[in-house]
Amino acid sequence: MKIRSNSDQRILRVNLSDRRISTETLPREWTSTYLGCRGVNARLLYDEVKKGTDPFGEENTLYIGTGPMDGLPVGMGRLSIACKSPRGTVAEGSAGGFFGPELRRAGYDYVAISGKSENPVYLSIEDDKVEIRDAGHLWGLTTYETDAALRRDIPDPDTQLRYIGPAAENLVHASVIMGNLNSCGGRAGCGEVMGSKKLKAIAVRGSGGIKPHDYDAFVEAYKVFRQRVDIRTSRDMWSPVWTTYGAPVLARLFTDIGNLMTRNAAEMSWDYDKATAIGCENFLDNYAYKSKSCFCCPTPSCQKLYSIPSGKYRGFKGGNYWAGQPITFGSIIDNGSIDLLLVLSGLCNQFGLDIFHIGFTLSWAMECFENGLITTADTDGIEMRFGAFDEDALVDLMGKTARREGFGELLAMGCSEAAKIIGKGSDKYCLTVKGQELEAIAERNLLMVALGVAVSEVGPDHTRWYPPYPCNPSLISREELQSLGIDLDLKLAFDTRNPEEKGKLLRWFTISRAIVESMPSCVFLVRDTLGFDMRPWWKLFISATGVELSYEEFIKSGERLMNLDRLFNVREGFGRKDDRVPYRMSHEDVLNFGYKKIDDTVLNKMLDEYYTANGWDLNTTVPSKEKLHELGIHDVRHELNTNGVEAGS
Amino acid sequence: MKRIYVIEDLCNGCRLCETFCSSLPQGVFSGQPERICVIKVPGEEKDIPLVHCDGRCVRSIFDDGRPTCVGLCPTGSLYYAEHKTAVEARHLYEAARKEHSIFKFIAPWKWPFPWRRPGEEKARSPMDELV
Amino acid sequence: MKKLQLRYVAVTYPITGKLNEEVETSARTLRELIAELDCKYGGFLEMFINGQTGELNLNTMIYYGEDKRVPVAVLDIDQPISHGARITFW
Repeated sequence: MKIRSNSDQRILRVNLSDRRISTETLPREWTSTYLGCRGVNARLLYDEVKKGTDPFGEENTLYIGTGPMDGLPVGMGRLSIACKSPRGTVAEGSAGGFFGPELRRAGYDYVAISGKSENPVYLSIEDDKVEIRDAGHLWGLTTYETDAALRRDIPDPDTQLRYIGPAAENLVHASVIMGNLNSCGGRAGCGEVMGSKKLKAIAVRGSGGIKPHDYDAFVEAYKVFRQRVDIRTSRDMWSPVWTTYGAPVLARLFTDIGNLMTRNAAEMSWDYDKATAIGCENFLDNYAYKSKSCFCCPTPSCQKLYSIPSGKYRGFKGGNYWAGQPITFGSIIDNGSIDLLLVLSGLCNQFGLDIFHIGFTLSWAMECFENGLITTADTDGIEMRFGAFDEDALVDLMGKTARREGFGELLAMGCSEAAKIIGKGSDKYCLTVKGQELEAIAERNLLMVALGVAVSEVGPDHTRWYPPYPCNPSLISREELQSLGIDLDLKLAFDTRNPEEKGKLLRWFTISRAIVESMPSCVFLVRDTLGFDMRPWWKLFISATGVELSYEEFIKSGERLMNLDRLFNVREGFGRKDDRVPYRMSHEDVLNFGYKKIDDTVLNKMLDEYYTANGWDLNTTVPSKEKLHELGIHDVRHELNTNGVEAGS
Repeated sequence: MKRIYVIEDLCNGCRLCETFCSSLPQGVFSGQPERICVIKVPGEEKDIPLVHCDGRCVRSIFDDGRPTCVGLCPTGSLYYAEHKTAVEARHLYEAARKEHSIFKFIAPWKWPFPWRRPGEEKARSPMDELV
Repeated sequence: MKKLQLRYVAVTYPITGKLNEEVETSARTLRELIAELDCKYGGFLEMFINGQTGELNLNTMIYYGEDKRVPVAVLDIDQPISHGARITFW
C-alpha cells in the first residue's frame, strides 16, 4: 500500500482537447499559505483562468479539489469545485460524500480539467492509471441512471463517482455536479462548465493510505473536536436538532418569527398547518427510512433517504431533504403538499438541477403570472399561481427545464436572464444577486445574512459564513475573543436588525469558514465554540500535515482566500455596484413583523464597514497594496495592473 | 464476555469505524479495513458493518476500554455488551423505533435527551449504558 | 388561568408525542410552566433546566412570543408568561 504524506499536494491535469494528462506536485509552502481544497483552488483559479476567459471555452479550467485533511476522519469527504462562472464571477461550491478521500488515496489532491472534448467522455482514475473514456452511452442519462451505468462499467463498489445530469449537459443555469446519488455541489456555474466540456463523469479508485504527520497528536486533537460536535456533548442548541431531525425543523419556527420566505418573499410567514405538513416530524414519521452520511461524519443523521408511501407519487424515492426545500418547493411557491415537495426535490437531484434556481425561478414566474406579465401562452398552458397550480404540470417542468423544452427553456435561463426576456419590470420580482438565486435564509431581519448575500463573490452562498449565530456567551468571554484576535462587540454584532458591527462580524465568519473549507472540513460542524475559537482546527491541521504554521498565520490563510476570490471578481470588472440585495429586500418592508427594507443607507453602512475592515477600496473593492503585502500575495499587483486594475491605497 | 453487536439498519455508512480501525496498528488511515468494514450495497440503499473482532483494539483511542469503532459510531449501530444486555438493547431498539420515528436513525442509547419509553407514561432521562 | 399555545419541535417530540397543544395554566413564569409540563410528560425539567446552574440548558432553545410581538429566543427562564402567549420548545 502506497502511503501518502500530508505535507505535499498533487494535481492531476487533464486537457480534454488534446487528451494530455500530466501530474505535478504543488509548492510545499502552499500547504501553509493556502492550506488546501478551497484555498488552493482559489489560487489556481486566479493564476490560471485569466481575465476575459470564455466560461464555456477551452481555457476555462474546472478544479475539483480536496486537501490534507481529507481521507482523515475530519475531512468529511469535502470537495471544492471551482471554475469561472458563466455569469463572469468566480464559481466555487463545496460538496460532501466519499469522492475526496478516494481521490487522495489514488495519490491526487486536485483534478484540473481544461479543454473541451468533441464527444461525451468520462475520466477514470485508478491510482496512476488515468484514462479518458467514451461516455456516449451515458450522455442524456439522469444522475441516478449514470450512477447505475457506471457501476456496471466499473464493478468495484468502492469506486467513487461524480457526474452531471441532463441539466448540466444542456448548460442549464446553476446546474450542479452530483455524487453518491444525492450529494451535490457547484451551483455557481460549475455544472454548466463541466457540461460544456462534454465531461459526463469522473470515477476514482485509490489504494493508498494517508498518514498524519503526528498520529498521536492528531488523535488527541480529534477527541477535542469530537467533543465539541458530538450531539451528546456539544454545547450548541442546533447540533442535536440539526443532525437528527434535520434542517426542515426550520419550517415551523421560521414561519412564527417571520423568517420564512413565502410567495416569492412578498410575505415572510406562511400558513402554520402547511409548515407543519412539510416539517421534519412528518417527514421522519412517514417518509424517511434511512440515514446517510458523508465520510467519517460524527453526526448521526444529517441526510436521509425517503420514499413516498401512498398517493399518486407512491414509490418515488429520493434523498437529502434539507433546509432549502421547505422554502424552494414549499413556502416560496405556497405548496403545502410534502409529497409534491419531495418529488420536485428528488427530480432536481436526478436531473442535476439546483433547487434554489428552480424554486426561486418558479416563484418569480408565479408572481409574474399573477401580475399579468406572463400568460399561459408563455407557460405551455400552465396556470402559474401560488398555491393553485397543476401538480403534475409542475413535476413535468423539471424534465422540461433540464432539457430546455417549451416553458422549460425560459426557466432554464434562471430568473435574471428570464426577466430580461420578459421585460415589463419583471426583474423587480427576481430574488437574485449577481445573477444567482438566493438561498433559504431570510435577510430583512438578519442583516448579517443580507450583507453576506450581497458581497459573496460567487453569488448567494450561505456556506461562506454559516452558521450565522454566536456561540453561547457564557462559553467565551470578550477577553478570550480578543486574545484570539477577534475584536467584536458581540452583543451589537448579534443584534440582528442593527447594521452596526455586521461588516466586522461577516469578515470574521467569512475568514473562519474559508479556513474550515480549505482544510477541508464541513462548515456544518462549526458548532459550540468552533466558530470563534479556531485552535482545535489548527491543532488538527498541524498534527496532520506537520507544517510550521502559527495560529495567526492559520487565520491569515482564510483572509488570503477571501482576498483571492475578491481579486478574481474585480479583475473581471465586478465591484461595489454588484454587491447588492434583491429589489424586494431593498424596497419593501415586512409589514406584519416590523422588519424594515434594507435601503441604501443601511446597506452602504454595512458595506463600508466590511470593506474598511478588509482593507478594500470603498468604491472598487480592490484590496489595498498594504493588504496584499500583509497577506503575501502582492505578486498579483503586476498582473492586476496589466488588466487595468489598481490596488487600492 | 462482551462482544460487538451490529444493528445494520442504523448504519449510515459514514465509515468512521473502518477508517479509524485501519489506522490503529500503524497510524495510517487507509481504505483497507482491519477488523471492521462497511459494505455498501450499490444504489446507496444499505450500509452493512461486517465485524471480525472481539472488541479488544490493538490500541483503542479511548481510555475506558471501549472499542474504538463502538465509541466513535455516531448512530449506535455498533454496541458493545454482554449477551444478555445486547438482547435487551435490541428489543428496546425494535420497540422504540415503532414508537418514535427518530429511532429509525439513532439508537435509543445514543439519544441525548429524555424520552418516553414504550409502554411507559412519562419520559425519563437519556440512557447512559452502551453509549 | 392563562391560555397558552405550546409548540413542540423535533427533540421534544419523543417526550410529548404531539406537535402542538393549547393549555390552561396558572404558571407565572417559564420555569413554572416547565415544571408543570414535567409533571404531565416527564423529562421537561431535565431537558431544559441545567441541574447545576438552574439556567436554560445550552443545547436547548425556547421561543416565546405574544400577540403582536415577534417570538424571540428566551434567555431568562424566569421571564413572566402572558395569556395568549405562543411558546415553542426545542
